[in-house]
Amino acid sequence: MTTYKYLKPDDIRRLKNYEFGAKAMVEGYLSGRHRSKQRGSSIEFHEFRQYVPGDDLAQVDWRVYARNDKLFLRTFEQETNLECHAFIDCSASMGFPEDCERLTKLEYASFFAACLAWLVVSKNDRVSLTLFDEGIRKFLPPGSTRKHLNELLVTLENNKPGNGTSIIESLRRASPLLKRRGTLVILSDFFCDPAELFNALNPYLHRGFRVHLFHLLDSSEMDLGDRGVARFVDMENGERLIVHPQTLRQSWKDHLQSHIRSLRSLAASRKADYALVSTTDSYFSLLDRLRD
Amino acid sequence: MSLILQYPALIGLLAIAVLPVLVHLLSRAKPALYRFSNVEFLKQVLRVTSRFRRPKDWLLLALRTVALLAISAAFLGPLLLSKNAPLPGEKRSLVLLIDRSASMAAKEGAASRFEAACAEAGEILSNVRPDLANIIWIDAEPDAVFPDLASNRDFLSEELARASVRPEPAALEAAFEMSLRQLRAAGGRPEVYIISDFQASAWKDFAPVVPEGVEVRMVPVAREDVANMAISSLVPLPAAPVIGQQMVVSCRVANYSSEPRRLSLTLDAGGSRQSQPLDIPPGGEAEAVFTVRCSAAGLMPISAEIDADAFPGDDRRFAVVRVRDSLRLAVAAADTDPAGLTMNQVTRAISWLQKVPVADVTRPPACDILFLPAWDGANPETFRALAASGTAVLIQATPGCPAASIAALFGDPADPAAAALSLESSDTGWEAAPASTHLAFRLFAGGEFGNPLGGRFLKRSRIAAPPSAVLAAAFGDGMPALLEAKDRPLMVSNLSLDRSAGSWTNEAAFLPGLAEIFLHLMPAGSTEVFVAEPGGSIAWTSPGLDGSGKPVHEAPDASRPLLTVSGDTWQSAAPATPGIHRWLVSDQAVHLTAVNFPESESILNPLAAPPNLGPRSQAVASASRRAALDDGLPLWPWLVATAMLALMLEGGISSLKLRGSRVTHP
Repeated sequence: MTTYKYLKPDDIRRLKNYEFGAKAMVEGYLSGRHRSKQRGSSIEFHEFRQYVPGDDLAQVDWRVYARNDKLFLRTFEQETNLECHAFIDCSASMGFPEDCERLTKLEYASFFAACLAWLVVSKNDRVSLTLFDEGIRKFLPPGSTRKHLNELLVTLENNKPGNGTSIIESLRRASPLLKRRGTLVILSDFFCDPAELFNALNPYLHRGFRVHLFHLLDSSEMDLGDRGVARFVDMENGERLIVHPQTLRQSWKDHLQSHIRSLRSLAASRKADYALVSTTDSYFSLLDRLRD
Repeated sequence: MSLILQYPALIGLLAIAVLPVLVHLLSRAKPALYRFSNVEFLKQVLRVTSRFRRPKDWLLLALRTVALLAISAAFLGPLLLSKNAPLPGEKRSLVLLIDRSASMAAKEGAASRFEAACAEAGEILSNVRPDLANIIWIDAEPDAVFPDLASNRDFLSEELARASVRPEPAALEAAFEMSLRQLRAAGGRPEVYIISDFQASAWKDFAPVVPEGVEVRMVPVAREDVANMAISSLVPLPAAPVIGQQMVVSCRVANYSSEPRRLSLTLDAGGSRQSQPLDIPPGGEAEAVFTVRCSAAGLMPISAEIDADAFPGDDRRFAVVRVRDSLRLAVAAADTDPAGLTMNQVTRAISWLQKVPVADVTRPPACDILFLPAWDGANPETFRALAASGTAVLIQATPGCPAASIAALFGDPADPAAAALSLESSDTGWEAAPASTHLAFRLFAGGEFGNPLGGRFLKRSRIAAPPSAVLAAAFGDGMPALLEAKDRPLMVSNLSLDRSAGSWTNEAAFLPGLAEIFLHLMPAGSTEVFVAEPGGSIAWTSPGLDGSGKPVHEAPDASRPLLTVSGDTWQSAAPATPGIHRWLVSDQAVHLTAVNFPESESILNPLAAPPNLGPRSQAVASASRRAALDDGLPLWPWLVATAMLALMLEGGISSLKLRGSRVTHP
């Protein structure tokens, strides 16, 4: 049996007990498991709708036309499979912390993505993977086969932290790649401008994607850690700054909290889900969040 | 100002100042690297905090640098020198011109201006340490301690301790000239220190020429204006009254302060005291008039006094009058002449009139009034000049006297058309009356004493009043009865004293009327001098001692200075001080001299700045400081103090920094 770095047997055993609610993931190509509001062809009648130019003439109910001399479409409810899109920030900052026993943010995100993919595929739903830093580094289109899962897990294993981050640009470029709407799960440290982030998310939200923002931070990012004067080196651009963390701890916390508050409030206003996650927390709690 | 270093070889010590900079740089030793996810966020946080901390770091660095710089500079022995400091080894000749005029007695606080001036002078002597020095006192007659500049500074210091203010004005130019003369003779580097209150009234026009090379430094010691009240004048009139006569003493009091004052003025005239309250506006004057009856003949000292103020020297003023027992009336008429007969009776009736015979009318004897009852018009200029010299002249012109002579008496040109005087007679006679406003007859102005020219005049001369004459009395038809010159005691009378030519001499008012005319004519001034200038010499010329003893001068303080004699003139060795000086012979006062406080010294307000005497003169607020600058002011105490202050500030700021947040070298 093949073993994967980010999918442990214990995790698989635990995932077998997980069920996904229809509320979270609804649209797919397999009929029967998930009820969808998307109108299409099936045997479950939904409603009549007045014809507008451009509608498929095949859906016109001619009987109604014969009786009323008006064109109406006959629409049906469609049962689809789930389609989940995982976006993982692979910038250099996601490699934090280095030289530490704790998981890096990227590792944490990879563990979570592996579990999510296994769970989706195991239910015959489709999952896609987008790795990005300054741009899109890797895109695996949605798939639901074991082979697709294997490819996804291997991709995660081979993934290393990259250079700088441009989540905004990456989201803009990924939008045309996602043909069908579904659930968009973004794992990042979100060191960006919240307003610009949500501007980049607007196309997804308008298309009906359910968006989950999982804000990954290491514990030492929360309070700058307990160290003396150090020369802080930016992992993305190599910029250096001599700082006494104890001096700046409170200011840093205040600044970070302000940033988190902005993200949370914008997410609430756009009906997106936002969660601040420490890499010391269990990633299963995120799966629970998706199931709700 | 210039700066020199006593130990320039140690200038390398200044390099210590770079120590804090080096420490600052070394303290930026490379700390451990720490790869962090996002430094941009950190920079945003630092941008806020460093806005407050970065200046503090730089301030600490600056304070440490200043402290070390000051300490190291102190070791170099810097000296601050004035621009005109003498060269090393140069001989310094110094004259201290110290004002000891009356205004220097004004007190400002506990000490007088003069005491402050002496203190400044002592400081200068001890700080400057000139090779040759002298003190010249500025008073009415400036004098120097040494005849020439000398090296004995100790003696000068002792003189400063002994000196006192003189109640005299200041002869500034004379004192300055004396200082230049002595400096020229002494050689070396000449310096003059003028220490004074620079009283505006005395110094405003002081602008002597300062020779090239002479340093003049002025040290003002007056810090403020002193509110002062002073008696500015005391004038008795007449100056030589006759016994029994009422004398008018006018006294002016000046207020040199900026506030209105109310005070009491007391006059003491020969032991008789009178007082008057006075209200004086700020910066103004008030006048009080006292009437004094001269009851006894002889010398009468008069003094006026106001309430004492902060500057008491000018609160008293003095005058002396000689009350005469009689007026000497020279009558140029024979005893058989009707007018001479009448005048004989008049002099017998009026006790204060003494008849003096006249041998030659053109050269009359010493008298107060010359009476010419029958003037024919000869020598009018002689009598006009006699009146101008102080001897009153009363003339009755005879018929036939040329009108031109009458005009000449009054200084008017002759009228060619005017005829000589002609006699007019009338059986009924004419009445005469004085001009209502004429001062000679003011006693009769009320009417209770009758008409001083009462009775009827049967004869008179036909006379025309010259343009310069004042009509003192006239007959009923307008004919002049009494003409007076405007500018001198001279009268022409048309009032006949002949008993057969009228009834005036029989009238009750005749005698007092004539007496009033004589009193009016009597000279206002006195030929005797009873005053002397303050600071000047007191002298008396004896009229001829009979060998009963030599005179003694008794000063106001009861001291009796030595006398020198030259002919009949005796001169006191002591300068004239304000008060009444008495000359005694056999302990009897034979002469009095009044010396008054110089009026100009009463105005105590100083100049805003000492006078500018050119480019080589300067005013110095503190002479001792200036002298210290000349000698070189060591700056090391200031530098050490600066270093200590900088270190204290550094400590304070550092402790604040530790209590706050401990950052950081961004």
